[in-house]
Formats: sequence, structure tokens, C-alpha cells
Amino acid sequence: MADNSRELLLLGLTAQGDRPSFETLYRSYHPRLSRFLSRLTQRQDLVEEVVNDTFWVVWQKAGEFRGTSLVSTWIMGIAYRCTLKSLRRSGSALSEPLADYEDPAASALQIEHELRDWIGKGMRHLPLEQRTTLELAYFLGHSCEEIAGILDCSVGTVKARMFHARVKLRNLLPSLGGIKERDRYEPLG
Amino acid sequence: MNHSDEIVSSHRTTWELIPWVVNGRASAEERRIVEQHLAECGDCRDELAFQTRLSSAIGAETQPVADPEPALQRLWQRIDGVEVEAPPRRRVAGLPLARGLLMAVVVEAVGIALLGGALWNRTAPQGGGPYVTYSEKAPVVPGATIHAVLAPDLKLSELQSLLQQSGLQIVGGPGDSGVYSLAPLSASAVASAATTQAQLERLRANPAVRLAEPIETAPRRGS
Repeated sequence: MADNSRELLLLGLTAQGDRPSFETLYRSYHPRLSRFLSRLTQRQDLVEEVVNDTFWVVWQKAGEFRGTSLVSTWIMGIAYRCTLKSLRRSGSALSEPLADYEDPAASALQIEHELRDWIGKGMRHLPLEQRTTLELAYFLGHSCEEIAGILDCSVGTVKARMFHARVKLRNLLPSLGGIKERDRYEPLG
Repeated sequence: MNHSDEIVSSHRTTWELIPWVVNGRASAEERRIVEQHLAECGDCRDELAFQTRLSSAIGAETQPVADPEPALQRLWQRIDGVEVEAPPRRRVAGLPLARGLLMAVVVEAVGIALLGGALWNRTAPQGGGPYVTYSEKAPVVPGATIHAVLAPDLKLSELQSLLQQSGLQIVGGPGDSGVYSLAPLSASAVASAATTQAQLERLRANPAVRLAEPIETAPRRGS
């Protein structure tokens, strides 16, 4: 987020056809975008396709960016739309959980990587838009308003998706919160 | 609003704000509201701890990421494939006036050089190479397919990037004439006319390339 002025400059030069500037942007976004897409789609075969679809649009549309949002918000918004298109093309379900949730053994929490694996399973149980909201907030550190810009929805919708994602995860991963299986979480109010 | 309603309202607000406190994007005022409520609400303290652990686990990424360069090269191929069909107008329209004037001067200079070269070639002794663009002929290096003149202020990193994008390497030059001899990057690459033409177009699309011409490989006259 703090790099917005630098990214604005790179995008402006890209709009003039400056290839080194475009490549700098590409290399800067490639690692986080690849990880984000890999987690979001759970499809390694789609990651490069979506990254390149995204930056193909960036190359074509750089001159149309008006600076009304952060460059990162604009690029992540393109990436999200490209992800939806790619998943549709490949026949993947968009709103359904990716896999059946397997209730993990309590001992899985003993080792950190198993904890991450467990959370990964819980995340896959969420609908795409809820999973995306959580990843954008916790993996990429975007604010509520930025996520609304990326997903092209209202701030209220982001809050609602976050709410449902948290409640669902809280009930799927009770041990993470130090609460017992029988204590299903119901937020006050 | 009675005290009970205030507690419920404060709880809802805090519960909603917790993710943005966890990821550091809440405002100072929002953090103050949350901290105030946490002091008196065990459920929200549990939720903050839960979301903090969740955020740490989501943020702790160990999966290696592929080298971006091959994917970037494939993207350039795709972009250039499109641009050959329909070059974006912005690539020219967006050029600053100074750069446009510079290019005009370069084009004029190249035209004069071509004319001079043609006249020189007309009177040149038999056996001269077919590539005659400059007042001083550039030597033909074995394997070279393109002669190019580059902007003197081109940075090394930009030159390397340009060569990599174009699949070319320097095999000769620049010498006194400032002419580089370029050859296909891969030793096994077949320098077909189509490949050379694509590389020429890519070079010519870069403003730092003042001139790029193919080296004809036809047998020399008189040989």
C-alpha cells in the first residue's frame, strides 16, 4: 500500500509502452499474486494463466487507470475477475466449497504445519467470495474498503462475507480458539 | 439507548472491527473502540485471539513460487502477437514531444545514412556484403542475423532485458561504427526469416533501438 506512488509511476510508464516498467510491476506482483491465486483456486494449473490474463489486461488498460483507487486495488480487482472467468472456463464451481470437510484429529494441532493444513481445509469449506475476502484481509492485508473495491461490491457486503466466513470457520475449527466442539459459536446480537 | 443496548451495540461494533485490528488496517479511533470494549468482554478477547491465530496461519506461506521469467516471456509473446495485428495507438500517442522529435531526427539521419550507403555501395568493389547501411560497413559476424544501433544512454539492465525479450545475444560490435551484431540466443535456434522478422519487429518497437536491420545471408556477389 505504501508503494502506491511508485506503482503509479510504473503504471504511467507502462501506459506509454515502457516494457521495463511493466516488467518491474509484473515481477513485483508475481509472487503474491501466484500464492493468492494458488490458495484461492486450489488449482496450480490455473495460476500462471490467471496471472498472465491479469497482466495482459494491465498492459492493455494501463492508460485507462484514473487513480481513483490504489494501483494494488485495481490490479487485484482485475485478478479477481480473471479468476472468476478462468474458473468458469474450466468448469469449476464458484460458490460451492471446494472439497468436503474432513474432521481432523485433535493431535493435528501439535505441529504448526499441520495447523496450517487444517486451516487450509477449513478455508476450502467456505464459498469462494468468503474465502477471497479472508485471504485479501489476512494474506494480503487489504482494508475493508479496498476489498470492496477489488471485489466490486459494497463495504456492507464485505462485512457480511467476513462475518459469515468467521462464524463458519469458528465452528469448523473450534480447537483453534481454545473452545470445545460442543460450544458452537454464536456472536452476540 | 439504555446500558444493555449500549453493551450490545459496542459488542457488535467490536466484533465487526476485529479483523481490521488484526490485519493492522483499522483506524486509530476504531482501535480505541475495540480496546475499550475488550477490557470488559471476554468473548471478544477470545475472538481477537482466534482471529490473530487464523491470520498468522493464513499469512504464514511456505509454498514456493515459480520463477516468474518463463511466464513473463510467454506473456510478451502473447502481447506481441496481439500487437502485430493491432498496435495500440497509445504507444505512439503517449510519446513525449522531445522523444518524438528525437525519433524524427534519427529517422532523417538514418535516411541520409541509407542514401550515402547506397551511393557507396554503387561504387564499391565487388565482394562487398549486401548489408550496407552505414558510411562504414559493419563486419558480418558468423551466426549474426541482425545489425542494430542502440541509444547511447541505454542502461545495461535495459539492454539485457531487451535482448532476452527478443531472444537475441550480442556476438559482435559495436566497434567504431556503433553497430551491434546480434544472433539468436539459443545456439540450436534456427534463424528462419520469420523468426528474424519477429525479432526485428520487437527491437524496432523499443524506442532505444535506433536502427535494426536484417543481415542478408545470400552468397556474396562475386564469390
